[in-house]
Amino acid sequence: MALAACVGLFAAAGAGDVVALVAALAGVGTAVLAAGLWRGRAFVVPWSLLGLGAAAAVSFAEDSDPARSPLHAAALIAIGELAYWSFETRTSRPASSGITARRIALISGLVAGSIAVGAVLVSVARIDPGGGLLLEAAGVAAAVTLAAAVLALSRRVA
Amino acid sequence: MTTRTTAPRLTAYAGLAAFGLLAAVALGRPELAILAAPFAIVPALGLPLARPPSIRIISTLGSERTVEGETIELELELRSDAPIPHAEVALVLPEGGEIVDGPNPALVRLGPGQSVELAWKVRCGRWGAYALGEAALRTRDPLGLFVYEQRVGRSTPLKVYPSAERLRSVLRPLATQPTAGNQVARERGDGIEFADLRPFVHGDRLRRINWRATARSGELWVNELHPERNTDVVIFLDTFIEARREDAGTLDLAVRAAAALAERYLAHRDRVGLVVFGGILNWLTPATGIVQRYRIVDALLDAEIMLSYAWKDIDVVPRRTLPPQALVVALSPLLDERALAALADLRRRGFDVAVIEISPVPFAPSSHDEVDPLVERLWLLRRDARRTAFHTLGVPVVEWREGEALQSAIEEVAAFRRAAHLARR
Repeated sequence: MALAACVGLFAAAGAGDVVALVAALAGVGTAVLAAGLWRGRAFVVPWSLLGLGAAAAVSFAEDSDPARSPLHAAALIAIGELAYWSFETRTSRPASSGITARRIALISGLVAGSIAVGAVLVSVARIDPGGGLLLEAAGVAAAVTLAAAVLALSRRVA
Repeated sequence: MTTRTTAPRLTAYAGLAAFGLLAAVALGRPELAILAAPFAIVPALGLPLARPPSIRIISTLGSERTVEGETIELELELRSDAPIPHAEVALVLPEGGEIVDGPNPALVRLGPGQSVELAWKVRCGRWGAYALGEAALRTRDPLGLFVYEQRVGRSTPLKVYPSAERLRSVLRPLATQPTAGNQVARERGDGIEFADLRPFVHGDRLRRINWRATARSGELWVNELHPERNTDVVIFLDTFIEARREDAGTLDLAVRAAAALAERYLAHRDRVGLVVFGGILNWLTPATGIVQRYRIVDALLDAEIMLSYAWKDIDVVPRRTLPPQALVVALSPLLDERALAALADLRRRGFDVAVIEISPVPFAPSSHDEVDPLVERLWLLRRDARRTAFHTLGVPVVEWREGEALQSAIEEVAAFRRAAHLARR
């Protein structure tokens, strides 16, 4: 919850003229997460992440430099992981050691990996390859391919 | 069988990644792709690592028998060849069982080739046959994208015996059997207890001469003695109908009383038999010893109310189950006509019958709630009439209610029998 509030504040701080909209989106995201954690409803987590992500995206619209986005992305994945951890450990009590340490290590790794991948993507985004329909089509194809790959992998494992 | 479901995390992350990437392309904002990238990384890394778990579980139950209300230890050993970072183990509890100590569900982590031991203390609140040792296992892959659920472990039978009340004394049968026991017989013969004096006749042993009486009267008098014999007792359990609320019923009380009576009579070296008379007929021929005690308690565990409309009389019970001159102690809520007719029939056939009425009144809805007061009064009057009918036959009927000592009911039956004996004189 604290991390979600920090992300909201961080996004609002760099929002410029649209601070009210960013604050509203971040507030809704945080409130939805709080309600979900309180009532034990895991389905609210993506909606909360969507709200916080939208707040960050609107704040980025004011500032064309994407340098802040890897930190936001890492914070969002950390919020998601911490929220799901909270739901998963509600019904059971740890009976062997190392469970918490492993989970913290996993989340830290994901955060570090997100920052690293984000930094690579920022540097890629700064390259100006020009524009054009072909590049747009390639971008759409890449996004669709990624979504399809995730779906195919999940089916294959099933 | 293992069932696999997709964790909410996978669908949420995949959806967010796809939405973010498409929005980035549509709006031409690379920041959105950067925001969505970690949500794509988690499934991309986690899906190839997802494997169904292979866990072996050995369950060990502390004992095969226990008494209701007491705790028993149950241990589970989990072993896996592959690492399992997140496994929730929930002990499957039978109805009436509760965990007194130990985490349930327990969250464990298994390394490759590593074993984890879990221990619980389980209490079974009601007598009966239980099966313990099975557990529900829920595991997740390393990144928690899939949830695997399965039932593991093997159920071990557990017999929970009724907690028997300690009795100081029990009913003495009117007649004893020819074999030696602890009960002072009414007949006269070789024994220890003094019965009477009589004049000496040819063949009497000199050691039985009462020298004081002889000196006073001037002729030889000998002591007559009561021999110690055993008795045959048949516990008659009426299982046609019971009155019940959620936590207790008349059958529970009857089973506990039967266990207590059987234990006490067998401790006195009497032969004890059992007739479970109801929808399902079950019987044990009278016998003595510790084995018979276990047989009776095991038979009591199987006693249950099975609804039946078939008319049954005492002829369906094998003859050798009801030996002549046996004391029949009936435990009945006096609710079913078939059991009442069978008891009356036994009395008419000359059996020594005593009825401990397991009162259904505390289990019936009170007149303030649902039942019309007049209906309740009529029902109670009808029950009184049934008792009177038994009294007329010379059968003592004593009401025993939940929370009262069984001993007091037994003393009341004994008092009735003493009074009836005096009246016969």
